Amino acid sequence: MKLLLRVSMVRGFAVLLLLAAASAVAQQDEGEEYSVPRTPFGHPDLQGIWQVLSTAVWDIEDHAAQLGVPAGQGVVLGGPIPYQPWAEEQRAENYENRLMGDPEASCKMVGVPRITYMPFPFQIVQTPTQVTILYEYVHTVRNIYLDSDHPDDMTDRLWMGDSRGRWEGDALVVDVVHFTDQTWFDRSGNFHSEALHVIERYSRSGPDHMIYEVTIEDSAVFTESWQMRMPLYRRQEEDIRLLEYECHAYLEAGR
Amino acid sequence: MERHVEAVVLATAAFAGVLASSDVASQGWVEGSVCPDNTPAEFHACALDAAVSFDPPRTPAGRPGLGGYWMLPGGQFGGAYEDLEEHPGELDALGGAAAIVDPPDGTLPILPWAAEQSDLNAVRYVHHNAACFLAGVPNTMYHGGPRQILQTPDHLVILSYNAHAYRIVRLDDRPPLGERIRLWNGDSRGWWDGDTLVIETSNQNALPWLDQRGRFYTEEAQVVERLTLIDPDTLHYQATLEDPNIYSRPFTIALPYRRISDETYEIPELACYENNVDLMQIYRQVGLELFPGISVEEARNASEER
Repeated sequence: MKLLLRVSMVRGFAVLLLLAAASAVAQQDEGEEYSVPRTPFGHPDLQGIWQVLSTAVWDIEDHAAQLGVPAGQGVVLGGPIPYQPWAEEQRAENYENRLMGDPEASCKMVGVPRITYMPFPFQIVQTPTQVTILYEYVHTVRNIYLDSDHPDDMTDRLWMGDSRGRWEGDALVVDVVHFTDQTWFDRSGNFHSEALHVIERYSRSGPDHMIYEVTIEDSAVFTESWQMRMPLYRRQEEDIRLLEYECHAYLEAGR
Repeated sequence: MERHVEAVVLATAAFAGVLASSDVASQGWVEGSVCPDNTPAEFHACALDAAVSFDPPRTPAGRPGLGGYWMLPGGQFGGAYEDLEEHPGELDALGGAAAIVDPPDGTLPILPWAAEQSDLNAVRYVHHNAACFLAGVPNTMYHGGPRQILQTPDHLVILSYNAHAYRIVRLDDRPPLGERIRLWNGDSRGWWDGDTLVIETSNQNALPWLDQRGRFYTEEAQVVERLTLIDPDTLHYQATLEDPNIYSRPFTIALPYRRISDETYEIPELACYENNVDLMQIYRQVGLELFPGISVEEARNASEER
């Protein structure tokens, strides 16, 4: 500010503009600088319609292009995925059978975190006690209950798991357990068991971006925990709204 | 008729299986409403009066707070879901009073050919719920089972236990979607008329039915719903459907929504399709087909032939 006082009004205005522009860029590019807007009840505001822009749904690891499959750099950090030896073989078998074996091929719910990187938009809605994510793909819903525990008497295995969330600074951290072993991580046969434990982290990095980080734990399938990371993009179309992809209705109608 | 009964038994058995796995379908509700009668007509008359004087609890934005967990009295099935008109208990129905409050005699103003078509639908085609499809508007609102309403300043979201269905009602004035976009649950926009939330829905694909009796509508159907708190724990739900292709005049149904009394209640996941993937095969084996819908053109031709 002292600098601004010493220059002329005109130059000062120009400097201000430059500073404002630089600050806007910094806010968008550096997560730490960005001041996350709040809901009326004081929580970081993640609401809106979001979507990934990646090839993770085909394969969460590095993969070359094939007919109908764009090449892609993996979203797994480090890597390769630390499968136990038997699971490495299972994954290879899944890959061979992927066209029919992938649960998505029969229109089932795809589990967590795969639902996040399906090529469909999703909408986040927040209340003081709950973050609900509505996904266009087969009208999947996730209710993330805040500051509450997983029911310890739960015996049901859930396609989308049981999600409990908390705010850690400006990030939403979600703990998900009680999964079925019926879902895959991608169309390439990467899989898990019922012991799957997913920890997700949603953090706004700018007005139109969020960083989505996932930790995968499953001692029945992997030798250690591993992570994925990808940006989520706010859909920019002024009139964007969630539509429907009623997969099994189309499947049945075609029979 | 025999085939109808066989299919109904199969469907009933399948869903009894779904229900048996969980006791969530029937919840207790907060008693002591100013309009305790659950008969639609009685409730409706009482609720219209009660709404005039009730000052509802409000959101920080000053709107009536509709959020929370709600249920229809009667639990999972019964009532309007089975038949919009008054009907006795039968093999596939618990029975119930008419949900139609206008016309006042509780009968559906359905055109004669469409009444015949409905009868045919009920024996030839699979009910949308039996196939785990979305229920459309208004059926999704009186399909039994618990619901949660999430309310924000710009959206009302209605989450259903059944088929984990959801509706997103945008509270803005953007126009409806282009007419080529057809959705099972349509495109809904809402606005506040005093303390009543009014929801207008268009762009439906008209594949779900209004009830188990095969009552249907066309893609041109316009549905206007009204949600009004009449006491802290009771919502007055009204839906008016207008579709001159099928009905000689608009008609209105009304129902009470009661607040679920268990404060720890959460809607569990009901993986309807995932747990019943083979159901459609069974339906096909007994000769049932998917309802292809009745197009506007088919409806007009059928009306002219009369």
